[in-house]
Amino acid sequence: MRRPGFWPLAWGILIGASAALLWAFAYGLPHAGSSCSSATCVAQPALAPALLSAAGLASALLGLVLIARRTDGIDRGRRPIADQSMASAVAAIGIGLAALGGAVGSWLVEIGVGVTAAGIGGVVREGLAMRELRRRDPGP
Amino acid sequence: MTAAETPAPALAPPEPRVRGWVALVASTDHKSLGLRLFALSGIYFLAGGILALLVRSELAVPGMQVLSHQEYNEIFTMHGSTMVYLVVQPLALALGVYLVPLQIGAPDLAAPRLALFCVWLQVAGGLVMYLGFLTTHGAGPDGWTAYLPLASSAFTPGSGMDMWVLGVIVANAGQLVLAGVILATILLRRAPGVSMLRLPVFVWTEVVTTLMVLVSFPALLAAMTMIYLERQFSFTFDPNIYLNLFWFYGHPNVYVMFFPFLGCVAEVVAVFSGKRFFGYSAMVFSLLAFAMLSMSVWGHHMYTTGRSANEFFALTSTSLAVAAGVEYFDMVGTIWGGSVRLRTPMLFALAFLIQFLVGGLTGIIVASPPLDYSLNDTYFVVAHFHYTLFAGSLFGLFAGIYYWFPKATGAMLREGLGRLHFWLLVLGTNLTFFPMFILGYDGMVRRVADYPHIGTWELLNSLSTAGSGVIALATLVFIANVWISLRRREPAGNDPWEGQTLEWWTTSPPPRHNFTDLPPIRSYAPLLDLRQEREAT
Repeated sequence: MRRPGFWPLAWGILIGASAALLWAFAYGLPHAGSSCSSATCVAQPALAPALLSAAGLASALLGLVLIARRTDGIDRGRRPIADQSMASAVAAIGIGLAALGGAVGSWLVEIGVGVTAAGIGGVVREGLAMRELRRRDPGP
Repeated sequence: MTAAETPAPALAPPEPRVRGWVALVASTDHKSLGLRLFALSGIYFLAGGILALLVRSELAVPGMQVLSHQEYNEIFTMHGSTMVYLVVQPLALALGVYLVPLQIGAPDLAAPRLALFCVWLQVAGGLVMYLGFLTTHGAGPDGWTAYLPLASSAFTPGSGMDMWVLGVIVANAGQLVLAGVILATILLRRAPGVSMLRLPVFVWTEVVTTLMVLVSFPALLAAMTMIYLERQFSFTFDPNIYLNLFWFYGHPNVYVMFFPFLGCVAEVVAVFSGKRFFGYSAMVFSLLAFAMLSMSVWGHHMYTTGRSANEFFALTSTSLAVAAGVEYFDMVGTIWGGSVRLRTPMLFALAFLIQFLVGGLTGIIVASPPLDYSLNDTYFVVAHFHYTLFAGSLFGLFAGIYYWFPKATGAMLREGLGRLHFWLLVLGTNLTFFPMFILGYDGMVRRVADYPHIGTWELLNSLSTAGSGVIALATLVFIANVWISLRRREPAGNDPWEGQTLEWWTTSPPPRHNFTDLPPIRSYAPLLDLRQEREAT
């Protein structure tokens, strides 16, 4: 329980238990022994339990990855923290323009993609600068 | 005072370097990001509130007075979409962006640039949705659920609906990533001494909220993509698949829009009762169970379709009352025997507990398939979810705003105006939404612009419209309170409420990287531990 990965894993298992129950209900547990004839017969019975199972699996996988990393989640390191990032804002605005273009025309999609690409380029440049800062001052 | 722990130092300078419009656009400081997301949601809240006033004006009396049927459809759709996608969901995350690093002793979020990117996606998504009003066919008119095939190009022509779909995708994709950033911060960036079972209750509510966002929001993105593919590329989909995907997001989302505000109330109740939170471990485990159940109830929105496992969903939906009961028990246990201070945050917290109970108990009614068959698509359901979201979550949010405003700004909100805001909001909320229970019970259906002269329907609708005016007045009082409190400041000091959690250790407002030192952390309430130790010696 001290490991942070325990909690997403436990939550994923809880959802998995709920999904197991839903698999049983979806395939006729309440109608056992008779063909389903009520108004609540389930259409596409695998759909709902599959969604719930996928959610449980995703959460459990997140927990397992964290457990595999053997992290206790305590931040003892010394690392650079960005104060600003114009490039991140530009990338998001580009995505907004591209989305608007999806409704009004491909010309705006192209502009949006271009702006997004410029923003991503800026983010990469910022990342490299951060790496350089960390290299120059590795800390205690 | 000796600090026993030192937070992880940052390499960037401790004082803010980013000011002016650059800070407004590009600052990655989590406090600035949280406040910008708050302000953005506040602007959308005012827009959504104006749309609600238009809806209520149209419904005040029978007949068509203010809007056409088409305009009514667009406006109630944009009201619901705004409040859900652009106000309450982002506010739930904005609280996390601002408070989580402060409460876990971290200098910033785990990925601040990614968080900034998400905030701008929120701006862009909302604008794209609202630009639909400028198109020939108007904004999206199909309700916030946009069921297929109603949302298909055959039944809803025009680019306004496309903009609505794309705006929803952009805004919610941003929230999905932002939830990941908050969760990563909690799981990987805690200060020495802050173990998972020493997280404040508010942070725990953010853990379950972000977990739910991460596994349920992709279903919304898939559902919206289905609509877009249908509209632009003539794909055809089984409506049952859309229904399941939409509500697989939609119902967990009700709790995404609830848990963080429950967390605000839990913090306020403990501090203003002068006690340690009662039943901390039970609260943590019930939150996990509550979140698991809330992932398992979406089919109750589909009872009347005859296409879901109603028995299962009735079982899980009713079971929610058990987890909710544990949380209410913890809250009451915290207040019980405490030295209660009835300041404005506590008033909002108490109103949250009472009014959300009305929403919760009526939820048990619609969790029963036979009763839901009768009440489905009536104003009873509208009353139920407004009691959970408005009378519940919004009151929890205001409890949090009045509680943390001094920390965020260094100034106290005016107590007198706060009380006036509180009582007007209580009056307006109940006057607006309680008549809807009776209207729904009498069979008035929702999503209609007009209704016949039947019994007391006109009187009840008029009362509801009057109530919405009182809510608008309360909102103006709150805005005036913020304005006056920031213009003529009453300094708050570091800890005006005798807080229990780490954010009250640092200055108000906190410096760029939050802490220069930390107190010894032996529980989820380190400042309360410290005070009790001092009193004991």
